[in-house]
Amino acid sequence: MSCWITAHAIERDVGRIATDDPALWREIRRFNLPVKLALAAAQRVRGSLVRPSHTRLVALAPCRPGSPELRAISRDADAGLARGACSQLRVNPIFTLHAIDNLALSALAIRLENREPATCFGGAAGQAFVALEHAMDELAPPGDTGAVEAASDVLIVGGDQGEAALRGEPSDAEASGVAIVLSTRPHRVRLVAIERTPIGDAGRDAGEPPAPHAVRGIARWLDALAGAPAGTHRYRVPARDGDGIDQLEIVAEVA
Amino acid sequence: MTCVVITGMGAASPFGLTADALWEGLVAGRSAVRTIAQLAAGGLPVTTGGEVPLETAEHERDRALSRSAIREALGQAGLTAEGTGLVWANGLDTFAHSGGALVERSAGACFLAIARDHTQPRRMIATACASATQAIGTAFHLIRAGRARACVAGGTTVMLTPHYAIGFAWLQALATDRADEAPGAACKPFDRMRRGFALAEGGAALVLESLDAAARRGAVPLAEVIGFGASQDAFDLNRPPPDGTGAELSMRRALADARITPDRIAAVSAHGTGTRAGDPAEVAALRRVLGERTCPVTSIKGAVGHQMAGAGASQAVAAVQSCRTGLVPPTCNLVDPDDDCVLDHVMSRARAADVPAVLVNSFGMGGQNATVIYARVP
Repeated sequence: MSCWITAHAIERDVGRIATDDPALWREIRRFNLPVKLALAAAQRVRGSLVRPSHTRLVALAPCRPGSPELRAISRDADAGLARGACSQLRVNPIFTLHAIDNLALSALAIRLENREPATCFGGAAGQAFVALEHAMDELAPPGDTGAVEAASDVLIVGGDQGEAALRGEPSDAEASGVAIVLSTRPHRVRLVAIERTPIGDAGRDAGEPPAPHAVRGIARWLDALAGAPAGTHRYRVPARDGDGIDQLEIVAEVA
Repeated sequence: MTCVVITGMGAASPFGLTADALWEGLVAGRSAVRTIAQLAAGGLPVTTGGEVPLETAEHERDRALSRSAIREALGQAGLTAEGTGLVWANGLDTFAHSGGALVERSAGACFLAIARDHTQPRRMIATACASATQAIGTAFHLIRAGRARACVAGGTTVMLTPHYAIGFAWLQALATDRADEAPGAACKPFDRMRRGFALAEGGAALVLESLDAAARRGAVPLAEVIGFGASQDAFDLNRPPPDGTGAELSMRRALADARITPDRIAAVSAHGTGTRAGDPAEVAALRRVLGERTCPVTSIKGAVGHQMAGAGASQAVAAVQSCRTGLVPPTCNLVDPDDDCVLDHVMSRARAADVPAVLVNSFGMGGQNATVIYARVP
């Protein structure tokens, strides 16, 4: 199986989007922060896609969905429920969408006019590395999988936010969006394997617990790859970025 | 190519806590949708829903519903979680009351709590209302490709809450109350008088494994999974294209994946939620895929409501039972099909038919579509 990373982008500054790409900002400003960041990261790698409308899209749902607006609505709803007076509550439908975990995928498909098979992995710790495994399967020759046809490009996107963003604070150190393009076309880094070893109950109790997030773990891996010398690169996924069940190691070949 | 079969099923539905209870309720043409006390007390414009009869603390309900369905499925298959993968949908994060306080319930945390008992693969699928069908299709592909030996697949949700009732009501997706109508009649898929769906909780679990592995264990295959297709509408964030092009693509890809032509399909379990926009779009797509031939079409949502991310797994249970029994359950509350929803609908009572294969559709809000084809064991 041959699968190369052909492009990636990490977006941490939502303010930059409005300044640098007003057209994109007009499209995404109504979304919640993880979705804004995911779509901005995707925009930065779009040029590396051979046919954006035919790329297989894989999204990672935020582990902390929602928005300050949705939280406010939830508080109002709870107060209304206690009074038996929810019929008076008015909800802007866009804020309901902030709860939807596949929102980034849907918005990206519309932007790219992409009707290809796609998936979104849920907001559980460690699903980012499941997305990499899924991408490798999507790019495998059909004879290996029984599929009718294989993909030639896979775009993985996702975004995170932390408690600060959900409180409506202007900066959130946990907020980021990541986009990564994997392809059958040779490039500098070849993704070889994702190896898993069960941690076991004893290891789980002794180790650092995972900190659920969609993409920060992938961002750390990409940072590690950026400075890697030529040769085999083995990246032991830190416990905080895993799923708390398996120890993961990502094997890549750097040209 | 590896043949993938289903060897166990479990369900947690408004009809009860077994796959048999779901099937019997569907075949009887009854509705399990009723007035939900919590919604009525809150003064909401929507007070009906499909509630699973499971007594449990509110903050433990997500795990309890999933575990109930999974336990039943594994028991029937004669397997345990250890040695079996999990491809599962838990729906969206929600709220629950615990110790008098409103607490956030993370769907991801619920998934991990369940997944911990399973071996690889452990995949959480989040494509809205297409999730469970996509989960089953994903497990099918993983086993067919030799990436997994056996998987539990499906999903359950606990989204029958006031918060989602308010949110989906404002998206104009829910059937609001009518004084002249029984609660069980709220959701009317494909009917001229349809006005949206009834929220429901629960879902179902299926055990998938290779036919060879099942044969070695002496397990009895209930049905075969033969095809999976998926697509995206790329059209709008909360409504499908009127011509159903995305749905059509999903079905055609499932047929291609199964290496069969549409004439092999003997029944369709439609997504059929009873919304004004969704039903005619699916009908338009089905007409193009099926052509001139008639094929019984049914929707479970009039009977149990819309279980959201778990719905496709409940449809799968019904599809497998149709293959086994030759019965197609009726679409509950469908009395007068709308002009733009005309198909060979199963109405009023279950229909006996030769059912070698059933096509199951699930379409997610945002435009993710998934189709899985189930077939009678040869």
